[in-house]
Amino acid sequence: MLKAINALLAVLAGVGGGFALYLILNWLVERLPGRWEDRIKPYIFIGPAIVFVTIFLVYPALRTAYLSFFDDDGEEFVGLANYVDLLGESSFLNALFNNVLWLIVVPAGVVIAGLIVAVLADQLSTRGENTVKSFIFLPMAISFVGASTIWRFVYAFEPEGRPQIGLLNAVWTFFGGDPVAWIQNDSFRLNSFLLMVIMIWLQTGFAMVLLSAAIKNVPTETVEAARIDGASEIQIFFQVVVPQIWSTVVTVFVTVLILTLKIFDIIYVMTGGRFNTDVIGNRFITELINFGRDGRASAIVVMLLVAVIPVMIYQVRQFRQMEATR
Amino acid sequence: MRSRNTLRIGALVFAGSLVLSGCLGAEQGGDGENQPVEIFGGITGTEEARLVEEAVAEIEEATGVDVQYQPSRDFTTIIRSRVRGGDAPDIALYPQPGLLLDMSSDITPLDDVDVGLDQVRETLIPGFLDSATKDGKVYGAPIDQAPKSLVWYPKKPFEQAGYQVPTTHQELLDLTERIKDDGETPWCIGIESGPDTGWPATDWLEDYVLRTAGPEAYDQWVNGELKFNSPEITEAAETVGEIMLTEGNVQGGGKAIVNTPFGESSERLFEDPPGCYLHRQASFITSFFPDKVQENLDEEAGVFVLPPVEDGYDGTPILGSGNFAALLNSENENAIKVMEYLISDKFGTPRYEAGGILSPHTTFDTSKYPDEVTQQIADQVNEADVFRFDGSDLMPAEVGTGSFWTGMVDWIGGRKDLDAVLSDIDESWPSS
Repeated sequence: MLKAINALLAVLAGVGGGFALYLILNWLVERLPGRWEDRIKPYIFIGPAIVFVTIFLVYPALRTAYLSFFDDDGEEFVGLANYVDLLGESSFLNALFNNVLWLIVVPAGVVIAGLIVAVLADQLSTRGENTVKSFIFLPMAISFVGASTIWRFVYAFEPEGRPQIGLLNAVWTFFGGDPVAWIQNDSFRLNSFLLMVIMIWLQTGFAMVLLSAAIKNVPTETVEAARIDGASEIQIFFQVVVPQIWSTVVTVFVTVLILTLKIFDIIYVMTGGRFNTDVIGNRFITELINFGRDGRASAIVVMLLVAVIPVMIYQVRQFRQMEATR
Repeated sequence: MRSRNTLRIGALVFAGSLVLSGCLGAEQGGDGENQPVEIFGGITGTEEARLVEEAVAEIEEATGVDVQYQPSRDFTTIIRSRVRGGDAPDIALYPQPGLLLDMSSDITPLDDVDVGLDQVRETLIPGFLDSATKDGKVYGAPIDQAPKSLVWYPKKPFEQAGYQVPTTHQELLDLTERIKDDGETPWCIGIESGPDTGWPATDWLEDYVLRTAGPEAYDQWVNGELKFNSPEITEAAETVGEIMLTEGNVQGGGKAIVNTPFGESSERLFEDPPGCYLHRQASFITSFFPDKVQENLDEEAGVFVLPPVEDGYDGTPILGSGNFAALLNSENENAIKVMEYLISDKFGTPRYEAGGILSPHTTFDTSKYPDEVTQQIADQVNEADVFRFDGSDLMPAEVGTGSFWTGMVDWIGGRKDLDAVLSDIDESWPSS
């Protein structure tokens, strides 16, 4: 009870404090002579945000990069040893390879599935469209951990002779197959692909909403003009509609790509990285929390960060272009 | 005008809350004789934590000190960050002596304070304290134990079928064959445990290293002096494999073992007809048994110590685990007082009365245990020639909670052969 009151007071004090800070600073700036007021005012308002981003984002990132050149306790300088060790370990390279697979398959899968749903739902009555969309969007409300727990039951395996509680195995054995331990089966990375399905299932709703809105924004004149010129529906879709929604496709793709780069929860819950399904996000947690090897964990994060930066730059550019053409 | 008023009220609320939170924040404190003692530990779960608190109340009564128990599921992570951040608890309960010794520079050796260590040394199960000893100094003492070298069976069907409790490894193998000949499944084995999957299998291997190669080889192995791919460890693993992976011994074979949660596998003993007749697991597994079995444990469940191997070590070793109390703040005199009680054979009665967990002291009155099964286990542990702590908890974390677990999973699941797995584990052993 006391804790709850304290938390409430802390929130009040925090919000109130922020509010008061802006009020006081604003009041001070207003005392300045006219020209100076205009010059300084923008910085007064953006300043605190920059300070917070620096303290809570830039500083930890730099500190992590720094620690990645030190040993497990962060005491002794070891140069590039952490990077060299990691990149020489087959299990880490394996995790990297899995990450690449995830990056190729998941964003593409999400965009394609989202596009298909958006286009097909567009053909339905308004009511039908809304119902379908609501169902497809529903998984978005579930956390990654929650979704993984659900999918554990889809892929569950029981030895022959016991009732199959897993959906996939129930179907499989119904058609005469022997029960398969899906999650343990890494031939052609089958298990990794099965885990990717979970993420695609989760994110399709997001892609669908954005793409559906974009498709509805395509001017009907362009579609009708193509139809009069004798284009087939498929030609219309790929040569008239898709080019006009391309920037949305890219936005969705990149957003999911960044999400996929950081993927951890699904792997942690479903396999813990066993059976050849490890990814670097999970590997990082293992190194930091289970093994207490700060240097190696930092090195992994730095590699992840380096991989994300180009994608981020691309996304910011894309966003600016969109703003400019608006 | 209205907005001005709102503003004023806002400012008032803001100032008021600052003052109030300042007051509320200062509720704790006190020093000298009344200084409270904080115990931080990894024993969680509503029932378990409640029992610890009951046991702590017992300390408060005996010592007159105000004690608070703080449980955390992430003990292993948080204890490191708390100590590094200068916010160490007075006393910590380590589930892994390996981690305790790893942090020994922050811990006061028990030899240096007056906690009655000599007395404790006499009453403890011999060998238990060695797991928390480094360079001749004792850094922690056990407050409980869960013996692991136990095989459980469903008493009624087992006796009806005319099976006998085996006393040697050969008899165990013969019994396994006989159960198979009767058209039944002999063993239930499950090693799935979420992110910790694999640990029950490491216990199996440790048990058989003790039985085939003996305690001395076991100690060398745990310290990294004896390799995983040495003939001794390979032989022990092959003995485990003979039980786990022989066709028909476990329903569904290795793939099912890897896939089955360890708690669930124990329940199958008590299905009707029994899903299996034998299950090797620590004493705490009783809390996973079906309710109707737990209520009548003595009538429903039987237990025996995993028998010795004929050509191996001459004697019956017991593998076990437990929580170790360590003193992190020796300046708090009350903490020393609490520590003395905590590690003595007087501590913990409410927990032991609930079953599944035993006192690490041979002098503990076994009649206080709730059922015959637990009393029988306690007697057998006290009679055992050798006690050894769970080796994976003593090995470096990269191995003990990493490659050893995944290695066993890869081997039993049939993804890699034994030699490859053992070499992989050797390779992952940290060099320094």
